[in-house]
Amino acid sequence: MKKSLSILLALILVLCACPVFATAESAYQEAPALAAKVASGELPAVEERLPSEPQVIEVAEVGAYGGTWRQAVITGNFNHAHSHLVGYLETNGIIYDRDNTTITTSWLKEFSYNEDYTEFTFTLREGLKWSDGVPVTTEDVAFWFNDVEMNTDLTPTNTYYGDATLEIIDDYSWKLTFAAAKPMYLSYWAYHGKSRFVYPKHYLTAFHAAYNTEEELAATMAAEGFDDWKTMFEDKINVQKNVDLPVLGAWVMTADPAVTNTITFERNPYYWAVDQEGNQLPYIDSAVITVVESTDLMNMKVISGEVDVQVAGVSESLSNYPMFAQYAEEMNYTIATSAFNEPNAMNFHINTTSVDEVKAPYLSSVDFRRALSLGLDRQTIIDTFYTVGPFKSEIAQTAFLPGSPYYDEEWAKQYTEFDAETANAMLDELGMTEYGENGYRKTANGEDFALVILCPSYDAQWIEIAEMVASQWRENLHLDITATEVDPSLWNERMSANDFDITNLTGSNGMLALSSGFVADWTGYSGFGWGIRFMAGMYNDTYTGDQTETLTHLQELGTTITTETDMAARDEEIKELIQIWKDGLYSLGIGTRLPAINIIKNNFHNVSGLDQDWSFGYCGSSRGDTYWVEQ
Amino acid sequence: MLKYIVKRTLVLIPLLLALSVVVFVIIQLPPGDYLTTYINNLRSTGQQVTEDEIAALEARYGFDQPMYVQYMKWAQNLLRGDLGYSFVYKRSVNSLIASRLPATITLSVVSVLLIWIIAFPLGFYSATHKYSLGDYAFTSVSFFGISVPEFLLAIIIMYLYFLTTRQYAGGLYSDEFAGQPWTWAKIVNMLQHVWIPLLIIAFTGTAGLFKTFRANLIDELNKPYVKTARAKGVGNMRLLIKYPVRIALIPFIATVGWLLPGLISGQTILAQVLSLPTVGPLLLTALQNQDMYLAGSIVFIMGVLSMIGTLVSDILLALTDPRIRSSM
Amino acid sequence: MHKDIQGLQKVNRREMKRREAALKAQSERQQDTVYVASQFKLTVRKFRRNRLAVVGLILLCIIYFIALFADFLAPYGKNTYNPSITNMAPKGMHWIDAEGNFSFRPFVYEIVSSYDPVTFAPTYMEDTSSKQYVSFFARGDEYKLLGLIETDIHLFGVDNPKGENGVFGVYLFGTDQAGRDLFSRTLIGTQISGTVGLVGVLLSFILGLLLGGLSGYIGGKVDMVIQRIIDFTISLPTIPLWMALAAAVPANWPVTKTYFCITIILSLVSWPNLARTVRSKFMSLKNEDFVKAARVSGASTFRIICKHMVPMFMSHLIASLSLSIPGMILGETSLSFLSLGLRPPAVSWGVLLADAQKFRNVVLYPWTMIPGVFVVVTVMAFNFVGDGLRDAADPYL
Repeated sequence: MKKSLSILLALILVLCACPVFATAESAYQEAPALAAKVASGELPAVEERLPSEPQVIEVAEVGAYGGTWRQAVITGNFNHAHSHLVGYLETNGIIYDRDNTTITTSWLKEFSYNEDYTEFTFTLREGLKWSDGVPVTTEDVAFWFNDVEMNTDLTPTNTYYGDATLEIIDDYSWKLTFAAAKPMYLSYWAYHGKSRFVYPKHYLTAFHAAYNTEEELAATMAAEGFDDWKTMFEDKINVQKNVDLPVLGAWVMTADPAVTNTITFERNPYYWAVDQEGNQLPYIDSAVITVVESTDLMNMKVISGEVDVQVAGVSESLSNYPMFAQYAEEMNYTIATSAFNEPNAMNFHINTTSVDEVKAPYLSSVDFRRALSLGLDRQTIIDTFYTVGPFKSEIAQTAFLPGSPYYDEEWAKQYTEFDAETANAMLDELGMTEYGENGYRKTANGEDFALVILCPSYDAQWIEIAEMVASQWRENLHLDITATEVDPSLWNERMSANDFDITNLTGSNGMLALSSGFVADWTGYSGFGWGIRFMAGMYNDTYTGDQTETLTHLQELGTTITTETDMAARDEEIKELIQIWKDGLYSLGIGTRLPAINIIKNNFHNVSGLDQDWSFGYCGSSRGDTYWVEQ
Repeated sequence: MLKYIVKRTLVLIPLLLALSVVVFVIIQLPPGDYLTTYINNLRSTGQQVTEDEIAALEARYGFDQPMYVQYMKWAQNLLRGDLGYSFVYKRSVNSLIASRLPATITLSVVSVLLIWIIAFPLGFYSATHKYSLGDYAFTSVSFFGISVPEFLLAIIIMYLYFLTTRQYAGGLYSDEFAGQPWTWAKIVNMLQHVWIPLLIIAFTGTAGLFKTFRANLIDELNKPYVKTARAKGVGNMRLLIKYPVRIALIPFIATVGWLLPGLISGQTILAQVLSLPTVGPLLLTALQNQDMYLAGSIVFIMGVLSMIGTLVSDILLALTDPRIRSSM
Repeated sequence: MHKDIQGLQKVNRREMKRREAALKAQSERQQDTVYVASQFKLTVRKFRRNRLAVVGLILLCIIYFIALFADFLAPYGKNTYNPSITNMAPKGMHWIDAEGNFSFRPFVYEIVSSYDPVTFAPTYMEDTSSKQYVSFFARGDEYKLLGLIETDIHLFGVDNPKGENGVFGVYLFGTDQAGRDLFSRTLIGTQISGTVGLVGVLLSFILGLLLGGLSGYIGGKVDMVIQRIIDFTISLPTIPLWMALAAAVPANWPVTKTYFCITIILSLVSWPNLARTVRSKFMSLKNEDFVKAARVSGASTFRIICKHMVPMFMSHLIASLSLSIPGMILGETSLSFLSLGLRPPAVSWGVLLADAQKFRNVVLYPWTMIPGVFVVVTVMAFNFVGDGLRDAADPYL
């Protein structure tokens, strides 16, 4: 009752205000299609739709309205396409700015926090509205916190807000108080999809158990075709599926992707940002994402000129550059490259915690790992796989990137020179002086010694690289090492069971900006991510060897780094982490990651900042709402 | 005959029950489950998931329950016609399959008809004109059709299409028609796209049928009864159609029922390559992501259809061949 | 007179008897020779008359010869990398140099690599001022001939592959993404493609024939049971089954061994189709007079099936057998998206074609499709031989 009254009140206000503002010289301009709707009375005037203080974005070129932005997405990866179009700006009140380092707001007006990192205060932009025109208030925040995050049906265990309390200050401000310090929460919130903070209460209450009697809920469930209210609710808050869900993004989804194989979007008339001249964003009217079944089809779409700005699905393979370039001029698109902030082109993680009696003494020996590193002719691998025209990967160990505040050159370059002689001497030193009939080294005890590089089949090229590395080790070091490719699910199973010797994969983060999730990769404080690749035995408690102490310390460092409130102490802890890695050489790198490919249609402007860095999702901090199309 | 059909149908019931168990078990056999696949995919693209989140998801999807509980739940829902919930697509399996069924059945029916229309007449011609120029031509083309992977062929044809028209060849229609009601323009647009899969099917799919039909017919044509009939002056065409062709068809009728499950899964790889909105790629995605209810339900439906198909085949066999009828 | 006539008749009778005996003996002799020679000799004779079948047989011989001596015939090893010539179009031997001089001994030019300034695609120029003769029985990568003799002698090759600005080498089919010689890889791929799959084909063929035969011939309960097994087998979802099996295979098994096992298991689930057709044929044949006659005269079931019934639809069997061969040669790759089929580092035609069907290779490096020609030729050869055998064995022809 109260809710509908407030809507009514807002409506009356809007209706009264309309004629006044329409005659006055407006500070804001809008898309022609919206102006027509305003003229016909379908929509309130642009001033009424914008917050009182919209976000003003300084764009390189003030654009013209209109056009459609076409993208494609590979089946099952809806997330990625969405992150660029709606996800990033839709669900994130806090985002990375376009410089990729500072953290700023989007539809939030401001945020602040105390020195202990226990209290975070946020303020909404006054007059911010959902895409259906209903104002966004702290009621939506309370609904998000109390009825979703704190609802044990919907969120059985809450990692992030488990120790939090919410205090609503007024209609626009609220404060989150945490029992424990959360110094890395800002980077976590700036990560795509993590600073959601609001759900459209006026729309969602109809589907929530707390707001309906059992009969009402049963009736709704019957009408919507669900037998469980949680599933129904999750279905309704799914921005990638429910076209009726009011949103905050620049575009509103209008067609269900699973049914049509294409996802369509229309501009959000209530979008909260303007350019420096007061033009309401976005410039582009509509967007279409086509679902394709494979990378090959994505590539075909690109050369057919059927995608406008595309990152997801094309960015990872620079070897496609010549293919795209062959038709770029004719089909009117440009191939741009942007940085790929992964620590290495390919990481060979060595299972330090192996429990195989024969292999463990060697895998857990840093000298053995150093010998492996020295036995690699990285330049040949780079010349073969990581060279595309003028782009050439640079020899590097798996380490933080040069742009990181914690960059350590010694770490990044250690044991990267190809020195088979020293490596062989090191292996001899380890007692591997006897050779078997097959010509490969035996262990000090005279047992056969064979290692397998377990390669997950995420990318067809990975196994080729693994095989080349294995063949170099066979030839240069006389070690019986082979490469085998397995399905990701099986690979994961073997990882969890601590049943592997070496594995290779890309991913993670070069720490240009410190981000909580990626600290886990480098310290293994969580059983997911890189930790499980080089210290798998620490998770299923099978390993009790002499590395235990160091590795436990590394895990603990992960926790301390992410909860450290004293920034100077944190820097020291990170240095300690780096020292452990330097001494341990858990992962062998090949070279720097080649840049990412971005496809940009020639008539698209203002497209920038598409760096690949998992800290802020798939498409960097590029803002799609500022792109414009030259008609 | 009727007794036979009733008996067979009754046998179907325990068989289906057993099938549902086996399907469910096999779907779960591969290491890991949907969650591990999901987490892996997230991790492989640099996204973050924590152990708590995973535990929450596990409880949410019921993966923490023992397998027989999960099976009972699924089986009960199956009885009610509810195929469960797809984790990958976040939608009910019923709606997913329903949305793709029309395109799937259309494509399957058209391709089966196309294969028959091409393979049987050509096989007939080749068998009756053995070692003629036409026979050599058809046989060579069919060899080519079976030796080239349809995947490769599809990609080459799509690239050639791009080279000549500078347009993208995937999908059933252009993007602008997606989600639009069926209009004349959309039908025209679809016809412009649909010839590519049809061409590939005609090329790769007919070879097998053509070759076996030709071989069977040749077998029959050389039998004395044909020569006798010919000598007695039975009209050539009538003779051929009435006896040898009928017998040469027996092997196909024996397996014709299995086209029924094919209606659902039909031309999976092709659909995959061409991004066609059919059930086949859905099953493939489900299996690869261990989306167990989606995968299990599709596989189960196909199993049911193939069992019904066998029954249909057996009945058809009896109808075409009196000798089989007598031995049933 | 009478006596004379009688005598004459006697003589005639004797004479006739003698002649009859001689004729009989002669015919028996003839029958003997025909009986001994006919089945096999006639078949061979008929087969030889079929020119296509002979061509097919010769092709198969060549293919298996290649399989045996692939390492020797190939100038390079299957995994000999060369980073300076990745994705290079075929560069063959020359007999006539830039000035138009003919040389009986083939030679190659130095290959200098660069890249296209616009598309960044690799480009390879032949430097006609620097040439090197191809040597036969050249020394190159080490290998074991027939898996026994360790040697490094290859049929042909280049003695000094390193040039001043580039490399020398014979790359008849071009190279792949890692600079490996496709010609060598294609020849070496013959070893796996020509053998592993065939075992699977044969196994499922025998299973299908046997179970289908039993089902159709005996009928009744046996038929009911076998048919329900078929129903069941055909409904099984194969992909998760394979995934589970792959998990059961130890990680340190070589790819080919894994694949061999998968092939065997594949054949265990792929027999129903043939079994159904065989059954239906048997059902229609088992009440024919000649089968009844054979049964009445006490022939064993096995003999009836093999000698009397199977030949009645030999064509279908041969056709379906030869049809399943390309499936097995190519089938290895259809599983490879689950990393269950053959995958690198193993080399087979399927692996090479899986590489060729990447869109990038179709657009930029179409020579990666050359191994496909070998598949087509092999399939044709098998089919020609199959058809030839069928025709040759057909008594009515």
